[in-house]
Amino acid sequence: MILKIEHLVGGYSQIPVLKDINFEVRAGELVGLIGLNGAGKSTTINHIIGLLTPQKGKVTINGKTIYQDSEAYKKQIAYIPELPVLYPELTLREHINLTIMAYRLDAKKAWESANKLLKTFRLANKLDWFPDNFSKGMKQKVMIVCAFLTDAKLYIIDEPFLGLDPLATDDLLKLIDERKRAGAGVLMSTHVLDTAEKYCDRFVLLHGGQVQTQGDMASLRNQNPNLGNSLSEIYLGLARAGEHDD
Amino acid sequence: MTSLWKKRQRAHFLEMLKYLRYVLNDHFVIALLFLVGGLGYGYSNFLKTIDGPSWWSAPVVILCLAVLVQLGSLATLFQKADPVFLLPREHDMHGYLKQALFHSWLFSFCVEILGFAILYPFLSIAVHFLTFQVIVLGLSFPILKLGSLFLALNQLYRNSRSNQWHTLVLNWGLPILWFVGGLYLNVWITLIGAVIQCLVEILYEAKQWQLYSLGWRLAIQIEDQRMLRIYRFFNLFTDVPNIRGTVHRRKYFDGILKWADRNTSNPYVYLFMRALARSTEYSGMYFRLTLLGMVLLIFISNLYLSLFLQILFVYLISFQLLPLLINYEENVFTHLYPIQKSIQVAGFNWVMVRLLLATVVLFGLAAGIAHASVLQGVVSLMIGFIESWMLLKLYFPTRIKKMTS
Repeated sequence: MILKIEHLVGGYSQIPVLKDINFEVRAGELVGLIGLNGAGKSTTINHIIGLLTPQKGKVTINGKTIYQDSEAYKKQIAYIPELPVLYPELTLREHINLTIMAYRLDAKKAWESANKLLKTFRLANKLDWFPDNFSKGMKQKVMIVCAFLTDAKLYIIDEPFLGLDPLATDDLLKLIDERKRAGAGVLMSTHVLDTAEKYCDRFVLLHGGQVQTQGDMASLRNQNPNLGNSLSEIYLGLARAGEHDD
Repeated sequence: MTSLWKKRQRAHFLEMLKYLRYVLNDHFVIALLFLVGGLGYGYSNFLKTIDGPSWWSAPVVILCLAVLVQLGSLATLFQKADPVFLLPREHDMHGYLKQALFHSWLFSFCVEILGFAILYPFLSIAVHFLTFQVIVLGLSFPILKLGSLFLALNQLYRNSRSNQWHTLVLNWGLPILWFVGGLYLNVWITLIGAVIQCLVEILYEAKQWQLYSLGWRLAIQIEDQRMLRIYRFFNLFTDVPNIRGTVHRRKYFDGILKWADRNTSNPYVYLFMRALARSTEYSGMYFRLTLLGMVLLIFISNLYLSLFLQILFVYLISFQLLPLLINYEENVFTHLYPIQKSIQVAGFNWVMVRLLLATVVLFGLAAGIAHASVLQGVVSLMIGFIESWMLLKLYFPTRIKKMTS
């Protein structure tokens, strides 16, 4: 069990956005975090990466909470935000160096894999560029390169498919698969349901700050027999039903 | 569109007022009073030394007039989102822009009156201008400005700053020609020239704007730069959120960066050093204050005064560098990296020690060499070391605790 979220209640203020969230990400598994805008996806992610403090419940990575050992906790996470966040004064090369320093990676080995990643994402000749010179997609690729440089146990990827070109999307999915097989867990939030259905092992559907349903495709179909076959049909059916409840 | 302009103008006015409150604080007003008084006194003394026109007085007047007529630019108050939201009303934007032009004109008019009032005594003493001649010359100013604002408006429609040459000739060349005519031949030449130029520019714009569509990108770029200049000025006095220093490569700092990388593996030193080297936000202030301090120490021979100034400058520099510590707080990765908070503080201290020591050594050298006194240099160094130590060990820790909590 890489990531375990138990009875998580939390949010940005005293009024909780998340109401009793429970799910987990196991080793070698890609879990899709799916929900409408405002369902609580980003809030959940912010709790996992430690930017928010739970009001109740706990988040553990490999059995440890952030309060037991924040350094060891954070070392296991690699995060790719939805909107790329870069240091304006650092070149691409320096972003990689900083990542190596921050995660105390072996510089030589890390640069070897960095070079491979840079080549894959066609950034190898842009090492001395500043973030200002990158397009949105390129910035996102920089985030991917820096995240996959680490030997994290848990990858958290927030809506990766918007802004990436098809080739980069495919390369990212291959990378995720590679890390899965090496024993890492991946939590990915997305609205691109077709891709999610094809690649995710399990799904967590959030609605109004609660887990509406979770499981693999087969169990989603079993739980909601009348909604349809594809993830997108089931999800739309559930979302519409959820709307009526509100 | 008129109501949009009114709304924008009001918001802009309130924003400027907000910042002016910070600029015109008590200390600054007093300093300003002394500055204006001193300059006025110097100017009046200078005027007393002039007896009648000489060969250089007319060229100086022409130069002053040419600079004065450039002051003030077209403030469109455009915002980045405008091309998205206002595109369907593009035809009506000309009305909006004319309002903007009128207000820009009024503003520069006020500035010009002030400038003219300062120039008036020089005109009457050094060029022997009669009052009516000064008035004729003065009248041509708002007319020239109106023309040049219409030219600027026209450029927004032509969507090009292309013809830099055109602009140079129309904004500098022709006015200088009118001034030369006015000062050497007859003052009416300036007024008539200004009226003709202005009319041509207005009529040309009236024809042109219907042929082209508004160059939104250029207009917004120009307005952004204008606002940035204003914010930069305010940023000297207070924290302006809209301003983030720009980033420059500055290859000449690479040696220092490499030296720092060799000496420590603290990731925050890596970050802070690069922020210092490449962002205009901190390095500009650091170099300016250090240089200014050195110049003052070179020219002030009184030991106590120079020591006081040195202490003040070191304090000011360290105080202005403190926000560097939280420069990256809004970046998620600063929180995500598996690094203890104490390492961030240690990295900050590493950088601060070296920056302050560099300043102290430079101050000591300046004080010692300029006054050819080993004693003054040594005393300056000692005081600097003690102050830096006190700042770093006693003052900073409490400030840092406050900033990071």
